Amino acid sequence: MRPVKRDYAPSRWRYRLARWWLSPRVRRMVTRWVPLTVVATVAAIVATDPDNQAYAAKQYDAIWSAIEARPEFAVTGLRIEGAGPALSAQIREVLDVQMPASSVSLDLSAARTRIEGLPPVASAQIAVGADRQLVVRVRSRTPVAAWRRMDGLWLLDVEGTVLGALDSREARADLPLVVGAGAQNHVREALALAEASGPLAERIQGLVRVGERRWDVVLSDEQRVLLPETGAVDALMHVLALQLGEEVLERDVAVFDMRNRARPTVRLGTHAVHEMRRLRAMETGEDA
Amino acid sequence: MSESLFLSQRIMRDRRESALRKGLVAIVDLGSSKITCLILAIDPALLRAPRADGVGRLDGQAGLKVIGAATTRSRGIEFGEIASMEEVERGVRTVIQSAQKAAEVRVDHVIACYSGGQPRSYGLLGEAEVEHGEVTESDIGAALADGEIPDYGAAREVIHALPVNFTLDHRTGLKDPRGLTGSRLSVDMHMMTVSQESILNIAQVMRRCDLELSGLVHSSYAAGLAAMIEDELELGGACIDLGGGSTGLSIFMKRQMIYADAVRLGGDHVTLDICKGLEISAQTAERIKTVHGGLVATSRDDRDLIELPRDSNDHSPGRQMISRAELIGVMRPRVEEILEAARDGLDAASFEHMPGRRIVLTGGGSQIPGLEEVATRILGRQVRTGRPLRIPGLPQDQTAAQFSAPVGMALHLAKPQDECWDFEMPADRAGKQRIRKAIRWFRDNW
Repeated sequence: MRPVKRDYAPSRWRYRLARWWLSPRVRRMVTRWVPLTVVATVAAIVATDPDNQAYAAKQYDAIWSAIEARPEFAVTGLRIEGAGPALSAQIREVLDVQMPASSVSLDLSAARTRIEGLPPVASAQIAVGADRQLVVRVRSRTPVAAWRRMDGLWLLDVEGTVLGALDSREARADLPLVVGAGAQNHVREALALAEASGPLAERIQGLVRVGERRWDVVLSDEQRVLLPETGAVDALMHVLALQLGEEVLERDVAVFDMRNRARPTVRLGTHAVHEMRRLRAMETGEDA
Repeated sequence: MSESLFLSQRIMRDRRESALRKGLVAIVDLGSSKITCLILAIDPALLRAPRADGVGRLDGQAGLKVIGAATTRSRGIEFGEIASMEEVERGVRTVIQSAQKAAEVRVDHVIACYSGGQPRSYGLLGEAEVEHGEVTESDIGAALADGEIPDYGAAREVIHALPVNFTLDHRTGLKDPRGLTGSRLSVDMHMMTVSQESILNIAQVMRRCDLELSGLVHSSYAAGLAAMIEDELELGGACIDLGGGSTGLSIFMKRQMIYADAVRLGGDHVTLDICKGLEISAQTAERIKTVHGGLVATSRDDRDLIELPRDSNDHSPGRQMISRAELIGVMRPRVEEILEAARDGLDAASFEHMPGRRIVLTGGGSQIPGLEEVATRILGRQVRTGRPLRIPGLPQDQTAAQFSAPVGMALHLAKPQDECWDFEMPADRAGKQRIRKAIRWFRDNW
């Protein structure tokens, strides 16, 4: 018997499958979740195998070293700008780069932090230049004052940063000497005082910070000028004016007290006191 | 009315509501010559946006859009009834699958229509006293329940039960008496029954295709909704749906169907007549009918010769020719017979006494040239041929007259009429009703 010839119709299973495929949940599952799960499972299986991990690490290292070895990334030299020989040596030491190096493996920001950690360095810029040189531009701190402490003599910059030890005062006789606790926080004022001293400059022994609030200027012959907390420079100018007019400091004066600007006070030296007493006795007719 | 009928129709109505909320419904027209499927995307917000006069935007059709359509040749349906389950299932699978493919969605809810089942119409009258002065839904339910159900036979089932007309005291012609004040409410109902096994067969086919049957419409009703214009529906008119295996017939008055019938004669019979009369194969006969067919012969038709293709066993030399007049001579008696049967149906409903007497011919058979002239002679009325209303997204090739029934179903879906099962039954509902009243009171006041 011949099979009956019929019009086309989808078979029952085909029809069900088509309807199944059209329902959004099934479609989302088949097109999204099933592939995602399969991929995630395979990835997890591959990734957890130690052999694979070792192989991946090896491959990674190989690729990384190949990149590092590229001549385009080579850094052939180091150039340090704005630093003296001693500081340059220090920078070279903290930088710790073996030349030739590869620019991809250089951690420039960390290197910069390390260089800026050096006391004599105010700020640093670090870059690989077009000529394949590692260029370090340093703005170094300059010592402006010598600071005497119990444990020795130290160099200070304007900010008050301790730059290093000073072996002897004579090595940097050009720098003013400051003494006393808290002196490092007022280096600027001390410098202004030293600058303003003018004709007294060669007589100044040093500046003493007293009670962490005001300055004394110590002159040769153990003379002292006591300055106020505020307006110290003006007070010093006042003293200079008196020196020019009256030559007060040439006389036997132990302490010139300017702490009260309205009433400059003078403490006389021992000899002057005796002389004054003798002269007063003569005036009153008594025997000295 | 029987409780079980209410229940089954309510369940179907609920399913339809849920399908409407879901926004996707498939419409399947199980015709004798073709099976059509339309997939409708529904926007419930647009559907439920009525204007003050009860007519929604575009009469509710703005909420509808046809997103997939497919048609296939129908096998296994005779006289509008399922004759071969297997073949019909295959046909439904085909149309559903290709419409789904076009729409790229899956549909689960199906509203079916068919033209068989030997429909019978009954007019019912129910009366009830209005309880609280104002007519409420329960009053309408009581009036509907009062209607005396005729004994329509054990193997039959109600497919439509429409409250057609309400009379409140002396006022008649009310469409919706809810909220009106009166003392005595009576309701005219139109009940339509079909044979039970035809419904069960359709339910079975849909079950075999994994679809949920959420509504069943008789195609004579649906075709009338699609092919008749507003005035015809309002003033009264009849729609004759000339299908392949059967001819549906529905009478509308004040937008309500008041009578429906089906004649078990259709275009296939015309084809068979040509097939027998001219001794050609059925396929050839169908083709000659659609290409050269006509009903009114002129002198020119005697000279118009049609060449008949020969079948493969015919070894005689020479060509076989017939004139078009001959073809018309074969077709016309059968068409006249069909129209006479339709006229008998209309006469049974005393259509001639109705105010508006427009007759609309639709369905595939209405495309025969000269049909209007013959129909006017037989039906003796103002006759026109009608094509279905255009609804959004309907493909061009589905706007022909034979697609009236599926389009009508879409319109029915857009604007479902309150059927009897939408109202509460008064029997054994005292307890429930009280609780419901309490709930309603709470909802209204809080």
